[in-house]
Amino acid sequence: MAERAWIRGAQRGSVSDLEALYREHWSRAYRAAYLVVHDAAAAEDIAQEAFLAAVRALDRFDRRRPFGPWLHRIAVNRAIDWARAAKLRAEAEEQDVPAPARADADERMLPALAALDPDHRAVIVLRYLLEYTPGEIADLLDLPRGTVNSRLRRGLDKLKERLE
Amino acid sequence: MKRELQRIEIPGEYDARRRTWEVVRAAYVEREPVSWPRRHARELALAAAAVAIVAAAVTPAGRSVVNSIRDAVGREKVAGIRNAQRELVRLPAPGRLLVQSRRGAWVVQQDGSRRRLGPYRDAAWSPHGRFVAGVLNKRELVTLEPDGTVRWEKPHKQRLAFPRWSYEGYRIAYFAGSTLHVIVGNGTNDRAIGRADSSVAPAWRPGTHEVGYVGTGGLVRVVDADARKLLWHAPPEANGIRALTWSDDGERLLVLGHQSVSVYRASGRVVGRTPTLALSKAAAFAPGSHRFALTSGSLLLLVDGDTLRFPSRPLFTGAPALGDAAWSPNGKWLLVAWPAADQLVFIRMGGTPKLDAVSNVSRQFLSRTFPGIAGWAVSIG
Repeated sequence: MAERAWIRGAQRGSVSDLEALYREHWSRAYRAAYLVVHDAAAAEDIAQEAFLAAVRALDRFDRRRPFGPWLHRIAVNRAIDWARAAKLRAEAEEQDVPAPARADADERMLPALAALDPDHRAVIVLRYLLEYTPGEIADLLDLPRGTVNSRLRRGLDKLKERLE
Repeated sequence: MKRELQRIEIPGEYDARRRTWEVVRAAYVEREPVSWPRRHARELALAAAAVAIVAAAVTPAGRSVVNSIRDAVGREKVAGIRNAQRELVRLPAPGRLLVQSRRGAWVVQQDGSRRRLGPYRDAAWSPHGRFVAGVLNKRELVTLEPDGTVRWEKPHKQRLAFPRWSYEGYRIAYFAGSTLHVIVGNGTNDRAIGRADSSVAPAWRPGTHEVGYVGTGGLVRVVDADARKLLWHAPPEANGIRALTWSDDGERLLVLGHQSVSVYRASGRVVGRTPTLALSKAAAFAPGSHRFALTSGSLLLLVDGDTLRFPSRPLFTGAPALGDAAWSPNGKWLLVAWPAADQLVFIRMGGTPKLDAVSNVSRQFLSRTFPGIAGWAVSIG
């Protein structure tokens, strides 16, 4: 599998193998973070932090494990923390955060997603963007599987209400 | 649902990807690689213990077996300069150092005393070291005195980077998002100049209000900041640009690519271009000269900026790679960072060669990663 070879190469000092790993995983980590935090600069920081953590842990990384879930665990958990903190700040300041410029396709989805709690957003992003099973999401977020299922159900119900 | 989530357009995604890669690559290049034995130290130690027990049981020379296995469980570690001081107790030349660690910006006085200014990033000296400019919380431009007193601060909606002072301190260039801005040194009259690559710090031409920066597509652009007029531009470097720096007479602009060096006259005419074999990290013109120090891979080289002739021997070698370089204000000492050895190395230039080194640098700046050298400025007052 190419990913194992890239990890092995990166552990041995190959910048091109690290770049291959980066190309493979950055977009999804960044997009997942953005869909949870709804702030491009914060998503950039979160994805960067996740990759820096990966670089720091590279030498100890077990090549038999898939890289993606490990990276997504860091990125999505940090995104949830950031979104919770942002929500508290917004409540304290009673300010509306201006919406970023959007393309047509996400005119409805993005605000609908933004209206959900960060925890609900995170499970929806993990399930439908990154395509993890509820069991895998439970592992990534250290949650009981039942909690993941209920968050998914509630999140989808709210999304549906907003999109209708 | 998946398609909808994938179709959402994220503003600035391409730039974010590129910026992040620069940071990740730099962190990767500068990390201290752990050897295979160290990665597997636990398994090896268990195996060694088992072999030792067996060896002790079957042979009287058991102890020598243990020693030989213990040697095999070694680790790659760069020793650095052996007689390095463990604390930065003084700078070998007059002036003050500005150091950027992950914990913020620090000023080091000539007597070695250190002061953390605060959690500022991308800090830079004003001319003559009177003030420092930096970025706070990614979105605030701040100028402060070397004792940490804030002069003014200006919040911004976008992410800020690389505030840099003009030669007399009357202008500061900085990036807001992907746009180069110039603001008057007292924090007024902020003007956008143009789209830019915000991963490369802008560079003011000494004696002028002309500023060089990397524009879209990797073009090097030199503009008159007051007239907002493009004076000249130069082509991109093949593998991207790492830094721009002017000679202090303002007659040479050095464009440091990741694997190339180009030097231009102030008019925009090229003096020369040359590839470098290894990844280059930093370049700094010697005060009052067109010679520049270049760190490329493990080598520190002194290059003539008028001929781009590389020397046959390096000034210093530090495997696997050297980092930032800065000249003392009097040009008599050159400071080079050696991240893998966690050392700062001071090299006396001219006269009898001399090396002074300081170890445990990261710890001294409360950081787990090696700090950057943001500048060595003259001492005022």
